[in-house]
Amino acid sequence: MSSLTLEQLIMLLPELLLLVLAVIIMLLPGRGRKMAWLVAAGGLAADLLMCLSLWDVNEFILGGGYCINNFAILVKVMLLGLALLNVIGSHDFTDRVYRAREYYALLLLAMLGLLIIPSSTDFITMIVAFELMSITTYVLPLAELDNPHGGEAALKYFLSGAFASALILYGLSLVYGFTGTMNLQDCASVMLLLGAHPLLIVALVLLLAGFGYKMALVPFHWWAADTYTGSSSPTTGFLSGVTQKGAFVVALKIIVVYSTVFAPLAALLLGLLCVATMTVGNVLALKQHDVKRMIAYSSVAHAGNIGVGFVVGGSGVVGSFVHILAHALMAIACFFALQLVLERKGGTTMQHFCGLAKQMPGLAAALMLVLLSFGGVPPLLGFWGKMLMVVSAVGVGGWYTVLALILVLNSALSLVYYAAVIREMYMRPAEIELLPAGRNGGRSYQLAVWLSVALLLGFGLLPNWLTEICSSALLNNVMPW
Amino acid sequence: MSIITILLALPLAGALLLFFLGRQPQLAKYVALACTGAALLGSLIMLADYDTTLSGYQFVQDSVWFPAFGVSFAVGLDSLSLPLFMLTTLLCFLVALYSWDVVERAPFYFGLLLVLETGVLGVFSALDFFLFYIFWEIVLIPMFFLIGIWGGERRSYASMKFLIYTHVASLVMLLAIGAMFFNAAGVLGYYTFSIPEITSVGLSLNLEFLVFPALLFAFCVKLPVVPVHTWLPDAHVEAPTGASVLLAGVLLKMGGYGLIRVAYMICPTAAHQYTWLVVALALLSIVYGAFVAFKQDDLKKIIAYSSISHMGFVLIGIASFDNIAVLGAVFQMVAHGLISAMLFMGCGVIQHHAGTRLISRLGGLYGKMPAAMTLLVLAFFASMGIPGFMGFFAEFSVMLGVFRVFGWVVLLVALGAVLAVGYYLWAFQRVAFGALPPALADCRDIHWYELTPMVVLLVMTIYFGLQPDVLIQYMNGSVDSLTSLLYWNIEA
Repeated sequence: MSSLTLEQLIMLLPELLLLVLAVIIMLLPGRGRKMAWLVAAGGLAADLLMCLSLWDVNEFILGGGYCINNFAILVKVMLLGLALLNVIGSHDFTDRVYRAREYYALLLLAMLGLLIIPSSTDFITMIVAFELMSITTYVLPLAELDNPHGGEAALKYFLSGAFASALILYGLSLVYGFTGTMNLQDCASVMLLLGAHPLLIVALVLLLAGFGYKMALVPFHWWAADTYTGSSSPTTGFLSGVTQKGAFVVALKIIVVYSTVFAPLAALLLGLLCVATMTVGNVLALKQHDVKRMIAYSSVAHAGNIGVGFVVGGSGVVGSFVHILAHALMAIACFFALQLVLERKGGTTMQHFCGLAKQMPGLAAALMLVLLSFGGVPPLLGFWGKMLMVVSAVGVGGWYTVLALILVLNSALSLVYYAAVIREMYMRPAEIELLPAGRNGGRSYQLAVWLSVALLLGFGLLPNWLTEICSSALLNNVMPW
Repeated sequence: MSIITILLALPLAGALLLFFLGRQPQLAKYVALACTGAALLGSLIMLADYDTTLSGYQFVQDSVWFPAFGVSFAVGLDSLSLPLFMLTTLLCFLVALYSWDVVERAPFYFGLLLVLETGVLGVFSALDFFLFYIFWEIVLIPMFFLIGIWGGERRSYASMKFLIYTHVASLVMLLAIGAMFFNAAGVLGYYTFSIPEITSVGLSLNLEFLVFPALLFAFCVKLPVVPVHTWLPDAHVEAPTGASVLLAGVLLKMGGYGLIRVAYMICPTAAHQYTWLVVALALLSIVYGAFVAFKQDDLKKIIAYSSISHMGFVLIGIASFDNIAVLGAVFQMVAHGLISAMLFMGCGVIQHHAGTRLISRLGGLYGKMPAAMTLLVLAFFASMGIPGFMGFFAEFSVMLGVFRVFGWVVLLVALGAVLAVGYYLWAFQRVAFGALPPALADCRDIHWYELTPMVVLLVMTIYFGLQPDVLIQYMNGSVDSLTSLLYWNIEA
């Protein structure tokens, strides 16, 4: 263990800053809503810049326990940017929330966990960071007191999360018992040395199940619909668009460790989970009448889509990352749009969307673009991730072609319910009158929606830059050795 | 920058202008007319520059877009795509004129029309599979809205059916494109989506037999071919007239174009092996479409089913691998584009002035609207394949080639043409003659903005029918290179 030098401390500044800001927000005087928002947004923006400045730094610090490389920076920047987007949009939401300071403090602590995950080089750091992120977010659905479903959402999220953590920890204890180390690299080496062992398969199944919960893969998805629907929409956007994506990064790291000896088995297990997730998510979404619940189930289906890239590997992982970003942007935009519809029309069922194009033309146009992107219509960003995954899967051949076919068919199926919402907005007369606009008229929601749509369109038209960065960052960098 | 790029950007720019012009709906049609007119003018200038003696693509632009996967913004036209490109700019202009009286959400309507034009022009001019796919998908969205917002009673059902049906087909095409892409990457050692490069690489035999059915399915849905045609009658019947014209006039041609450019050029051996299947499907479309057309009471449905029947001619012409028949198929695509546009406009006129398209509620219209009825019957004649109109030359060449290759199968093809005479004349008789229903007592004749496009189309149909050479000189290169490539591939 070497001691911490000043240079190393500078590299840890983003993490430290978040911690300090979380404390500062809690110490703000009075209700401190505006201040809390300002500190959170400013802090995340500053953090984003700090992380960006660490690009191309390849360092192990804290005695090799913490690694800063391009993969870690890519994930950090991506998640910080998404969180920033979410915080910007949440301004009008926390204006009427009882505990705005706590909301932002918890959000920043969750981001702290998310920043540590991609840099961790051993299971302990990774799981501690992951738990930090999970535990802070369990409370978020309760932020809005007059939301009657918040309690149910939080409780289901907490119970499933606790159960998943137990599974993960048990799986890790088996891995530790077998390999004698918690370091990811050493783990992989030991597995390579000793070869496949039934105990490791049990551990793999436990880990997949545990992270399956966190990623909301079928059959571990049951909490997702209730939590996503029950939480207030800005919170749902954060859960589905930011924290859930952290679980994918952890899963990717574990898959890479396991792929040393278990590549075909891990791919097969995860592949089956993905097929089930995509299909079940889409079929359930098809049946929904409440658009928020529909998008919640579609988030489940998209988790399956993202997993396909992990199964395929190679450029498929690049596709996964593009799709993670795409889905996060779409989810954030969509849930803010839903929040606005809820506030202006009193609900989010199909009826509330009738004639929205006449009543709120700007929002309807943005939401239409988001829904088309969800459905994978080019040239929006939602298309590129899917296309990279499909093309890589067909390139690998074998049963991956079937996987690609299922992804493609599911994508077509999903367009049915996305198009149904567009149809309600544009092709039906309005049935419900607009309620008067609130104090800010939901301007921050609109801002977040349009920022996300601009990013979806921008990255969609110029995907090259994004995929180049993703592939260069992912190449040989996922595992820090 | 190639002139094609400008022609692609022009309607899109107009559309963006219109989407932000919501306050002044009365301006929309002028903007649309100006944009489509400029595109038509530009394409005519391009046509004058086109060198018919050269084979291969002209006006090529190839700009790198997405180098990691070898995607580039590559456009160009050859003798297969040029006629269809011209057809699109012409029909879009005429439809913008024909839609002069659209007032409901006019900026949105004309904006969608312009987006649609960019999409279709892009499909016909793309030289990169990626670009091709993106334009292919872009076409769906405006058409979905056109049917869903300005359509008839069952518009919601029809637009969803159209969207889902064709989207599934495009995704199957995407899978095939993925397979071709990786095969080419394996052979060339670098990634490219370039259509000419992938075509010259070709596919291994095993892969051809996998890819061809996928492509056949994807393009047959668009063409459409029985039994994957069911979206078309619904879409046509519910669509507003302008959308119907473009749907039949240019969107169906995307299927035929894709079949030749992609399915047959890249998988000639598999295509040759599957000839029996393709011919069976084509005959089914020709005969089934014609018989079903007889039974319809809705004029638009008659034309929709006759479109299916006429697209069967295109399919069997391509499948015959015969010079004359392939030429006939390409010619038929242009001919059907002009003629079906005229037919749907005629239908729209009746719908507009008489308030219904149901034959059982029409009758004696000749006395009330002589100009419209004259144009309609001339359009019917053109569609039947009466000598002197474009349709005759197209169908005759297809039958000639089919006879040369498949022998007496041509009788079934001819049956389609004979049945067309029957259902058209019978329909016309019931619409134009007989007693005038009292409800139609005060119906007026055709408006100028409906008359002008129909007359333009009629003149072109007759002119190219009498002087097919004028058009063929632009197509010859493609047909020769296509059939020679096909033969070469089969022999190799």
